[in-house]
Amino acid sequence: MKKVFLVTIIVLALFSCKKKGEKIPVTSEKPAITNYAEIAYASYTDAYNEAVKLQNSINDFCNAPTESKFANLKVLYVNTRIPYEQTEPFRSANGPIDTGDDAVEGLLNGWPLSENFVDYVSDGKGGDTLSGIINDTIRFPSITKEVLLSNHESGGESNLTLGYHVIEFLLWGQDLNPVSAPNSSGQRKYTDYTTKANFERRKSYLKAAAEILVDNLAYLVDQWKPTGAYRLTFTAASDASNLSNALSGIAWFCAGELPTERMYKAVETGDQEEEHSCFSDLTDQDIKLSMKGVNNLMNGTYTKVNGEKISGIGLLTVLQERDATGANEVLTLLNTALADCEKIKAPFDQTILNDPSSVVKAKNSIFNFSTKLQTVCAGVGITMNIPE
Amino acid sequence: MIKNSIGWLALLVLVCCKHNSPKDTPLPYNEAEKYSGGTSTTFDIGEQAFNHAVGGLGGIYKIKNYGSVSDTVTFAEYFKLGNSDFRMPWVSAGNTTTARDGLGPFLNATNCSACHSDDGRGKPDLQNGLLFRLSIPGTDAHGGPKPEPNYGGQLSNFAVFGVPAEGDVSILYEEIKGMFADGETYSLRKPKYEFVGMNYGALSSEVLFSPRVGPQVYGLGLLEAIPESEILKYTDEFDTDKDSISGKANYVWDQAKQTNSLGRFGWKANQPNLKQQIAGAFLGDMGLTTSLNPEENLSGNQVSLYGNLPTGGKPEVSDSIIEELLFYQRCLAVPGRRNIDKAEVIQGKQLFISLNCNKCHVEKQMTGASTISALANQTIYPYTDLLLHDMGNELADQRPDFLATGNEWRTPPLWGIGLIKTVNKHTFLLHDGRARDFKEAILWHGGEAEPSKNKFLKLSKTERDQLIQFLESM
Ligand code: HEC
Ligand code: HEC
Repeated sequence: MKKVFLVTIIVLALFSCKKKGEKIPVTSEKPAITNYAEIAYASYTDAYNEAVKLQNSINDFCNAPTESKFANLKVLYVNTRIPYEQTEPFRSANGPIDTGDDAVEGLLNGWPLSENFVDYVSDGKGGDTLSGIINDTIRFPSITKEVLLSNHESGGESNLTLGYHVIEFLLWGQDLNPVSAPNSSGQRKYTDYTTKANFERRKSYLKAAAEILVDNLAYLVDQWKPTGAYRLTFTAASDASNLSNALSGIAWFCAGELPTERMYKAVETGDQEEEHSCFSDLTDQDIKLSMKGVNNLMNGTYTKVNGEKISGIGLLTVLQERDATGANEVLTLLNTALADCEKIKAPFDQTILNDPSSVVKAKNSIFNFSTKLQTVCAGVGITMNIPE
Repeated sequence: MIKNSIGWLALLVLVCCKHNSPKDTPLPYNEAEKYSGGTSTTFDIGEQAFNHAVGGLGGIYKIKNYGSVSDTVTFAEYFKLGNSDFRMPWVSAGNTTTARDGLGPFLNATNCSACHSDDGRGKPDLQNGLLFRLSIPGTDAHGGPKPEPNYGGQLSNFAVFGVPAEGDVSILYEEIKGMFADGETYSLRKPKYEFVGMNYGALSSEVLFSPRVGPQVYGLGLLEAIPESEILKYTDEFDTDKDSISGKANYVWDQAKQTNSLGRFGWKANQPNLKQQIAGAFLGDMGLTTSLNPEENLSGNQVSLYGNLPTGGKPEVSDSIIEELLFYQRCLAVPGRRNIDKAEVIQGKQLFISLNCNKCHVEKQMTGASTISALANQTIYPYTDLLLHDMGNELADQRPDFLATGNEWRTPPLWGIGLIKTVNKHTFLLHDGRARDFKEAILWHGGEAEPSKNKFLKLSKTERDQLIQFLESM
């Protein structure tokens, strides 16, 4: 989830050996690329719209906190995660999410975090530490957007002040449940915003963090809209390079990032909270949704939050035109991966400790899908740029 | 695994292209030199050039059964775990992700890649890879540097929440002008350091300090696999061959063996092996304990102030993470050379030899046995002897490190350095990053390398450019 740089691997050598004019004309490239951009625009827009709803409700909650409003914030948080997680396969594809100086991935979805840089945590003896920006009135006399922005990652990359997981922490709190507990997520009380020490500052923090979340999602929408700066660059770029970036991003996400970093590492570590949504225990959701995002791009479809459907030419079609057998194998492995992900048992933390088999099976399927995708792409002359 | 095979593919094709169009006249360069890291060299020359696994990492690391599901973990997958360990930040104790907690209380960074960004070279500032070793005159029980009483062996410019950092360093550069024999002028920047905001008492009036930038970390498994006898072959401590260049082995404390061993890693060859280097980084740079270093990194009154803070377990970093990282560090492939058939580069290499640069930056080495077959019995071109050399007073840190005197530094390998610009987006060189480019790095050479530098000053502009083009081809 950290910054990822796109490789410009020189596989030129590959082509220099080929004779000119060997390339089979492919008609689906342009529409597939356009559709890819449409899905990016639509899914970031959904994530943005849902984040705005979350922000409005956070403001309302902070004006007059109640328990039921607090519970509703968690629902709204999940609502913006649903489209956002589906955008994960836009990572590592030279897009605005994680390319260039204005990249926002680290500001939106950074993990892991030292949450005690944000707020109190358990002191391990039944009490709380008076830690974090929220409780440090001396170093941080006021809590504003600027304070959060300027202190993000200050003193180390895990000192996150912003992003989904920080908001998740402010809503759920630390998950201190034993692995046997039926209720597995963090149990932050709404009274943290009414009576607990520094509750006013906590409100300011939550409001500012929500505002920045919205700002950063707005940035992505702005980049991908039909007249957006990135969209124009994208449209001007060659289909071949767009295709190569899009497929490389998906292959990377399904090799290094998702199955290895987020799934295998969790199993291998065997730690209850080695999961990206460790406060809310929604990690299994994250995995399923991000794979859904992969499916969207491969098949060229996306169902918007309002139910409207985008269905155009997917990246699979482009592969089909060049190598029908290979593309079908890719499709089969993708479907297996999706099915295996659906079988991951929730909550993720108990699953990785008690019976990780469903996670192991799914991570292998995702990995196999990526491996096949890479082989097929390379076979039909699509350059794959995949960082380790 | 396909993921790390792009470089291989390119290489393969390159090779087959060669076959199709054989050169008629033999070229005055050796094709093999392209393979800086032996058969496992990578030919990616992009931003990820330093981040590839050596090729041929075939085989199965382990098979583990999870109920009915059997999981075959290949070495290539295992490598990815180490890659993740290298990049992912640690969190302080008391946070939810307990598998990665225990950071600090004192630290320089939260992850390895903060100082070795993309497995490459850090920058000369305290946020991006520069750290300061501290000591006072004398030695510790094992002949190593004697820690500064209040601050220990290294300044920690960060700390966990609620704990003031040890202090900071302000860096100023003074420009020093000079001139080549042909009249072209140059300017070198000499660093001046001042310790500021020291929070745990005064620094000893006798304090010795050594600024060091995080070096690139590829090819280290190969360097580790060079037989000791091969390295010792180049020692000439008393310069019996009268070329002004000696070459001295450092012998440093080996914690696992509980004896002194040949030093290979670090700017003063102050670490005997990668495992100890990694465990040392965890403790010294990140405040994380390991089974090799079970005690927290606290000195002076920090022990009574923060000795009772919660920790991330004992040890904080599991042995399996150390093993993953060790495998990862051993298996990072070396980027191959480019443009070796270019006339300027060939000329540059001739100059490199005639200026005696290769007396320290020894071109070729052979590896011996290795548990990782891709690293065994390889002919490699690291351009280092891994030995210590007196580099003159200007570069000296005046801080002894085991047998290394204040003037001595280990010859750094030059393989891949032409790509630091691409990977790390800067061209700072030397142990403290004072050199802004290759030219300045050479101009700072003194001591045993003074004659080489003087010859460099006398080269024509064209020749200087050729030498630099040779370095860029690395
Ligand atoms: C605060 C910056 C910093 C951090 C964090 C850091 N390093 Fe380093 N690293 C350095 C410096 C500086 C050196 C040179 C040390 C010396 O000369 O003693 C070095 C040297 C090394 C070397 C030896 C390289 C060589 O060519 O001799 C290895 C291997 C290494 N580090 C690995 C790691 C690992 C693994 C981690 C994480 C566990 C890590 N480092 C974290 C700064 C850092
Ligand atoms: C006497 C041994 C010796 C000779 C001769 C020598 N070097 Fe070096 N070189 C070193 C050492 C030791 C360092 C590291 C010094 C430091 O960091 O302070 C170094 C550093 C360098 C660096 C910077 C490497 C880095 O990773 O930052 C370059 C480039 C370099 N040398 C090139 C040359 C060239 C070109 C010549 C010939 C003109 C030459 N050297 C001659 C020992 C030598």
